Amino acid sequence: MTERTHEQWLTDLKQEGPGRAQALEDLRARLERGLVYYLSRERSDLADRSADEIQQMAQDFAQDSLLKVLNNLNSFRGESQFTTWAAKIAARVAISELRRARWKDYSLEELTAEGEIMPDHSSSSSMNSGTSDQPESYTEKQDILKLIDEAIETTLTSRQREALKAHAIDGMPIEDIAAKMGTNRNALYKLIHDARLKLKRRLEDQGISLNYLADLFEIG
Amino acid sequence: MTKSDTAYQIDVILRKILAHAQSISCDDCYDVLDKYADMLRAGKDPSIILPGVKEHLIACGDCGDEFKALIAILETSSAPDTSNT
Repeated sequence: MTERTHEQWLTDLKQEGPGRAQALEDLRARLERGLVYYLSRERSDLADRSADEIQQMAQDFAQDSLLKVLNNLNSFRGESQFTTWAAKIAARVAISELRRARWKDYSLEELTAEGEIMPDHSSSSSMNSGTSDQPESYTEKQDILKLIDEAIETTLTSRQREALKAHAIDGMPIEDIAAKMGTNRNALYKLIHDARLKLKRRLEDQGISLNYLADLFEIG
Repeated sequence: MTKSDTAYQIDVILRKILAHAQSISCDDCYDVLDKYADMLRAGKDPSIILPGVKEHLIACGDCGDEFKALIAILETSSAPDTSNT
């Protein structure tokens, strides 16, 4: 397969001519190959699909991606390889189409008593950090992060805040924090411990448990 | 580390919060994701030219998924030569 510079890709794809058909096919085949890899290696929720099904899905997604690429050629800025930019478009297409398809597959039996949607039985998506089964999980995270941020700013004393941030976030060694804050190790540990407890209680008052947070952010 | 290790949980959560606070938006991240991927694949460190992307990808599950998908799709392509971009 010819390796084109991004100028060549743009030229071939924009202008009617013999180069265009070849460029389209090259790009389509390339995206399809990459999508097969993605669907078969990175999507545990598709583990029960046959190779033919995967190929078909990859083909469909590649076609849709190709259309999007062509429609957005003018927004390519040449700061990356053309094929990487096209692959980025394909990534979004694949993920959003799979998400739409999964929601269509849910039956009433899969609703829990509380009305929550259960994930696909073959899914081990908890292994893939960040795979959102629920579309709301990103907004959920955003909301929670705001609450935690607010809790840190309003619930803690400034010394507790300083100690906690330096230790938990900046990863500063205890001795360094103690020296910086003009205190000793023991007092610092107490400061940090109290800060954590305050935070935990504040969140629990708002109905947010640490277990819930750990699940939401897929920790531990 | 067990789930009941409160201190560890809080620390990790806080780290993600700071990542969130310093990070760029999802749209900004998507906008440069291809450039970021190319640099990584070429063995370069993108954190100076593209600050905040790494942190956002850690903190944001959706963008992280998209990045993983992008890398997987590129798996069957050769590593980029970034000298002409």
